[in-house]
Amino acid sequence: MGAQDLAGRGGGARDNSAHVRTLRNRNIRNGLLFIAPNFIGFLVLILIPVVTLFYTSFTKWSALGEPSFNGLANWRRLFADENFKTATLNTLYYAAVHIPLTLALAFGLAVLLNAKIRGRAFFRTVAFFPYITAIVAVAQVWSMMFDPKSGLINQFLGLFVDDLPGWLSSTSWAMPAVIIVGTWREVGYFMILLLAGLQTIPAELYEAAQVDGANGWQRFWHVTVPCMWPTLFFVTVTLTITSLKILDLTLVMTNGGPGISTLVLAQYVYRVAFERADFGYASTVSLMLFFICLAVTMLQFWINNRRERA
Amino acid sequence: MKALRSCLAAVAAAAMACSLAACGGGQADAGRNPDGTISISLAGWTLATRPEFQALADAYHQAHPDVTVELKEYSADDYDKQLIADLSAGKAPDVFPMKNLRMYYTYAEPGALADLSDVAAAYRGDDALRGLDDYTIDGKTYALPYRQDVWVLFYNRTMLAKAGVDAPDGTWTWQDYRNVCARLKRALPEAGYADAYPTYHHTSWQSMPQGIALAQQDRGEAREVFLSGDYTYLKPMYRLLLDMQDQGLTLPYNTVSSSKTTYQSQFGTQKAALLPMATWYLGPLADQQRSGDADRFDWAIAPLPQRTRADTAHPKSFGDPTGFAISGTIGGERLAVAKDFVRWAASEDGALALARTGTLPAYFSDTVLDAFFSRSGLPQDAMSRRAITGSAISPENPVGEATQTIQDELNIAHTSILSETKPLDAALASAAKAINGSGLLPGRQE
Amino acid sequence: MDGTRVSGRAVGRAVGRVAGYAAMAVVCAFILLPFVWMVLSSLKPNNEVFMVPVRWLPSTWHWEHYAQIWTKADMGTWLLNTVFFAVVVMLLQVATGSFAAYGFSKIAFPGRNTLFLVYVATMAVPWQAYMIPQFKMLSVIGLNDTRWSIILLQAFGAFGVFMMKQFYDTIPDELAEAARLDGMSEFGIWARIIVPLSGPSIAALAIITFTNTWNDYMGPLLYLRSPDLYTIQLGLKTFISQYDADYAMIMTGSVLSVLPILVVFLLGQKQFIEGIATSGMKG
Repeated sequence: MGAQDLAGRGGGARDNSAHVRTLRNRNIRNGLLFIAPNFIGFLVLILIPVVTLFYTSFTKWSALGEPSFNGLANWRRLFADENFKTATLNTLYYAAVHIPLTLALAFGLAVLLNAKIRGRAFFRTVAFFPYITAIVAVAQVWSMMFDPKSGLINQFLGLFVDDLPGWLSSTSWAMPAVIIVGTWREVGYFMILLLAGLQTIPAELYEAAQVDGANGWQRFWHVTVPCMWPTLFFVTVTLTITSLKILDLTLVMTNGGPGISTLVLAQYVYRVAFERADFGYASTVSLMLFFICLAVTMLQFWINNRRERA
Repeated sequence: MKALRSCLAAVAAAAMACSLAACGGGQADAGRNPDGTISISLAGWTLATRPEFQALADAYHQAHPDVTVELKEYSADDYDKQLIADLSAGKAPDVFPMKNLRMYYTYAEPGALADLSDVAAAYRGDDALRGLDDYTIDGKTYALPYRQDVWVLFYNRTMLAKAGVDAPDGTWTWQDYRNVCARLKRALPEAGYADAYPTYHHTSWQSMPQGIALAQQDRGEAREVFLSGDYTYLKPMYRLLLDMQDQGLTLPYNTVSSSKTTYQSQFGTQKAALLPMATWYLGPLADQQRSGDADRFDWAIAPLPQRTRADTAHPKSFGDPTGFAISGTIGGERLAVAKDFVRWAASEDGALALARTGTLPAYFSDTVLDAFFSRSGLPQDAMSRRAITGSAISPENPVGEATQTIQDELNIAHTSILSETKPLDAALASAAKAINGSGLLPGRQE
Repeated sequence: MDGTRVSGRAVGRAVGRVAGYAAMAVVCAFILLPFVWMVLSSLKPNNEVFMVPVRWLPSTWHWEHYAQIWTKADMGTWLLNTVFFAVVVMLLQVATGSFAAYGFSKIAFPGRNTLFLVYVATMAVPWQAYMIPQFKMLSVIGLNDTRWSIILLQAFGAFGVFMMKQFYDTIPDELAEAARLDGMSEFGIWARIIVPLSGPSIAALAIITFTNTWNDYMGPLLYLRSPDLYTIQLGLKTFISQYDADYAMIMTGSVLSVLPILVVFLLGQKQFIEGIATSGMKG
């Protein structure tokens, strides 16, 4: 909703433009006051370093010494860079599968663990465990399970199919393996956020729906989802950004391999920056990652706004 | 409102400027204290568990009571990340190690390191100091070696004897090595080693086999070949490794990488009878046998197998030196003291202090090697000593602007080849294409 | 509805419930497996942690690792530092985040949507790319290798603002409007109406900020050098030396490191009250 609407509505009782103006000014002052404590820290510590990327992406810079301007060289290089192309496709692949999968599972789990079941607190804690277990341990145990011959997963699949996937030792199955572990690890994290959102739904709405004879599924679609919309939106945007920026998991599990079959953009940025000390080009690659994230996020904001207006 | 806005803008501009400019900042360039003493700072890692750096600091202080060397703790694992950050902000210690040669050019080229050519000149012609030439960039030297590890062949004498196979005698070619492994594969189960492999290749590192292949190729000097843009010299070693993992003579790459196998757990608990590895494992293996972390068995080292029988007379191996460099921001008395410390660390005196901690120094004199091998639990035979002193040592990461890019691309090829997800020729060809396309190779700059 | 059908249904329901719990028990075991591996590894001799063929149980049980990590290593210092960072960052993030979120959600001022989008957009930039400029900036004012660096680094992220703003959006604007007409100040509305209604979301933000600060490795790695400032994640890395590592000790530390997070989690999730909450509209 626009700023004008709200100011107008607030002054609705005594409708005169002078009052609207004072209210507007008061709102600006108050709004800025509320935002200031966070914004000042945010501006200095995050926004400014981020803005410098726009400059360093046009430079040759090893992090030591000063960046030297080299025009469009980094950008030209980007479009001829096979590693970058593969990393972009891998990132989109990861995100496209990981986002809906995680969202659906986390939402389902949150609804389930919000219901009155015995041992709820215990199950919630268990669900959060993958997120706090050391990532080395996670990678290790999953690698055992993914072992093409002795792993649990293939032994189970072997009951049904003959042609078993090679998982981490195959270029086409390594990414699905990473997605499975990524989802397994993050479901509990997003479940926490969704659980908090579920708490904000007024019980009366469910009672009213029940009186109207709505079944469980209808209540879910017509009460839970609409009331959860702001939270769902937040979770979707956050999930999108973290998926597009996925790094630590591939770093520990596959280090981008075999070959570059699980190399993702954030890891490529990390490699170019720290393995090759090429911070100029790393800025260029990270800006591309930024633009991809931004495009998807803007789309989500646009859909959200349309929905709110509707 | 406006005042606030312009104030914010000023802060923003200032912050942005210092986030990019080469902020010397630096510590106040203090010379000697009034009482004539001076202290310099030295970066090191695993200070609590490894005596290496403390031993150097203490020995230097003992010889130069007016100088104190203060240790600053860094991460062994992510050392270069911390050092890049510190150097970029002018906060680096006075003296710091160059862990290997991979990042050396990156540090030296923008002037972050002090020119040590005058210190290096003192060692020209001194054959005992290994690895010094590896630090030369356009005739100048920015670091001096104090450690030099060499890749050798570790063997478990107990296992070989029980299996009835002759121990390496320093004349093995890679073909011999492979044949011995094939015999071990048949003999080990009968000798009571049911789940052991003949050998273990630590292919989590690309240096196994790329370092070996570079050192033993016959096309020319390692640095030139490495920077030539043609990587077909890697093929014979990769064919050997692929063949051996297919024959079950060693743990296959896919298992090594996904289970994060450590070489200590394979060789130390007798899951492999042979192990090509560097001399940095000598001290820890002896220590682990004493503490019970490793099994007790009789072992020794031999020179790496060679490409041809003729080569075995003068075996070729590889290993990057570890050196000390000095921050480019210090000067005056402080710089002079730092230079003297770096000179001393490379010398026989520094080497002796280091050798006693079980670390192989870069100064290979008889006295130093006596001190090194006097540590209990190390093999005492002549061949073990010859494996170190008799091997010609090529760098693993020859220094050049393209070094990091080449290694990164070759590592991608490495995982493709050994995971058998891409044919050998195709993987090396695409690495060569990417490296040549980077425009970083000598004579090919834009 | 006759009696037999009711009891039939009750039996069916009971069977279903047992099956449901059995399924959940299997899922739990599956989820906890890596943690179990971590615990078992912490009790192994070091060489058995990453051995092939894999062995799950230690050949000898090294319970003493749990004593050694306090005596031989500096776990006590690391723990205190980590608690300090995690608590301070959590408080700052929750306070400034919910404060700013109120401005974004409940006060209409021109440009707020753009500003909000800028916040969210910065979340999309990979930190590895701008950590060096950020490091140089904080170093110029001498904050590298101080406690301040980690606090400043973590406390002002966009995440908390975004999250709290979205939760506040679920609280009807009418509540704030009514209070305004009653002459309550904006701060009063935030403190006395909005915050009391956002218990679960504040708890969720607190849990997540605490966990992320607790487990952060790259921040401390880059900024902290003095061993007396080390956090657990950074301290555990001192068990890794140049060519080998003490993995059993790392696992010991990692197991211990999970416990405080569990405490915070259990405290925080108590805010997720029984079943569905009654809305703020009533209160």
